Amino acid sequence: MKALLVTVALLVSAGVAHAYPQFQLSRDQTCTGCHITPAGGGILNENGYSVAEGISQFGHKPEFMYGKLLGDSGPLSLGGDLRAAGGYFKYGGPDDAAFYAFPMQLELNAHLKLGSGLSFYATGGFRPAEETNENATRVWSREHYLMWQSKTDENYATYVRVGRFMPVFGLRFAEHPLYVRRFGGTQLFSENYGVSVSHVAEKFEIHGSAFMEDYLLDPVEHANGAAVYGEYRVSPTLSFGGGAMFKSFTDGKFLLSNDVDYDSKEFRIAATNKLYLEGIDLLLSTEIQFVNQLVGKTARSEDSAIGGAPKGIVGNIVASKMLGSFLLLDLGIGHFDSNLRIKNLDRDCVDLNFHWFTTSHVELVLNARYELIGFGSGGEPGMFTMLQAHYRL
Amino acid sequence: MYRLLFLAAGALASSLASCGTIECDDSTYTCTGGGDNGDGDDRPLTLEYVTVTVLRPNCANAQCHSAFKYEYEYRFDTVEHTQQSLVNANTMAVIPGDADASLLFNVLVRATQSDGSAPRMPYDQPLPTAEIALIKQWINDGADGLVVTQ
Repeated sequence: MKALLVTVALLVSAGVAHAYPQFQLSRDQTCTGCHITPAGGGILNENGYSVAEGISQFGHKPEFMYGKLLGDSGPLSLGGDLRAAGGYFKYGGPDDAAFYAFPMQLELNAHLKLGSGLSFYATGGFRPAEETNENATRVWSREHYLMWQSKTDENYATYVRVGRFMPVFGLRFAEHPLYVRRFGGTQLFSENYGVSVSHVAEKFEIHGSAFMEDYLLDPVEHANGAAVYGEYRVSPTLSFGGGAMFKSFTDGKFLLSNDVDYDSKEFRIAATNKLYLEGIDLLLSTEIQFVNQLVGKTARSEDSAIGGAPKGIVGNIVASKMLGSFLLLDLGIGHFDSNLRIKNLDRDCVDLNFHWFTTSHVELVLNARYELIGFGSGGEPGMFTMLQAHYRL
Repeated sequence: MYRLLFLAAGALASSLASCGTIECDDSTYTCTGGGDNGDGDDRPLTLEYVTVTVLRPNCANAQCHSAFKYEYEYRFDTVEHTQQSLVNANTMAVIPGDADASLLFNVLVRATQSDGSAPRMPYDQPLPTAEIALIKQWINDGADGLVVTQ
């Protein structure tokens, strides 16, 4: 049992604190309304600190280390996240389940203004160590990039980033088990080296990214590609978005076939929608992606023209509501089908996230999921619950 | 308006769940309905297809069998890594022609031991029957692409 608990802890550990897309339209219009970076996540700006204080039950100074370490106007901004979690996991037959607890995240962020709109951003901390190479892989820098911003310290601007980061695509939910993250082209730790250009305006934003496989460490995904994503805000309470992502996976040399290189490709089209119902303070977020895979132009099977190009679909609908001023409830459904030709291959789930913002720095989160395959006809159901304690430095 | 959208989404999800031509039996892990005659499963039984459509999306995430984590020295994030992992594994990971004796198939269908050891994989999200069936058919068909003959 001990071995299983350790393994389970490793399996679900290493979360990452990102932004709350649940607040876009309901609390602010864009990611840059609260964050320094155009993709959201990481260090908060002045308005972000104000929101963090405003939605917490007991308030308290929201700045990094309560404002005791850095002044307000210097070139250096810092941030950080500590996170621990525990919960209940169903992992097998009807009676197979386990409790677990583990440290989830320890990361520090730094943003240094270099002048003339240039700045450097980096995130570093602990990561799950690579087996057989533990000592060299316990710590890492998940993100590090140079950023140029056309209008310094303004929300609406053009941004250019060069370095290691996650391409902007889709709604960018913080909860990485959500289908549109897990199976939607932006899974946990799939940051790559690349370049991106973003333009954020009052009515719209558009992001373009090109990325390549990380050759400096063993990455989660071995892919080169590009992504574009845009959102148009019809009104302050309604937005529509769309995008496309292409990945060419470098699957290495295929030893059997006289060392020929082998590749597979993946193409995604995404559509998103956000509607904020002001009267009841409810935000509805929807993302759906259509996926077309090509399993190798060198696939050796003669019938690969049909079977080797599966077409799939993945999507989430999430309803987010503030209960009072410091509780946030997300209730969502997800659908994922990796190959529409196969009956009962699809996964459907109900996701629940319940956030309690206690102080400006402390948050408790309850995550839960119940999942069916083929509505119960395609395999075993799965479920988990997890309670997180999150401390923002 | 959104009530209608929710109903439409539900109808879409249920219709998507029931569509498809290939259907698989969860007791025998065999599939029918594909191919020209509809009497078999026409998905390619190759290492490439098994890796890209089953092992990579389900097993090779950041915390498990990707090169990033290399859990238990298995990594299924590329075809090359899958081949290396299964060939180099000092176990009976895959025995071409005999799925029932192959660890790769058994970890997907086995019952977890009473002491919690050797859980069914992947234990966060069980595999659909159709994907387990593909693995089984690939192994029983000779595990094309796995055996290094050079």
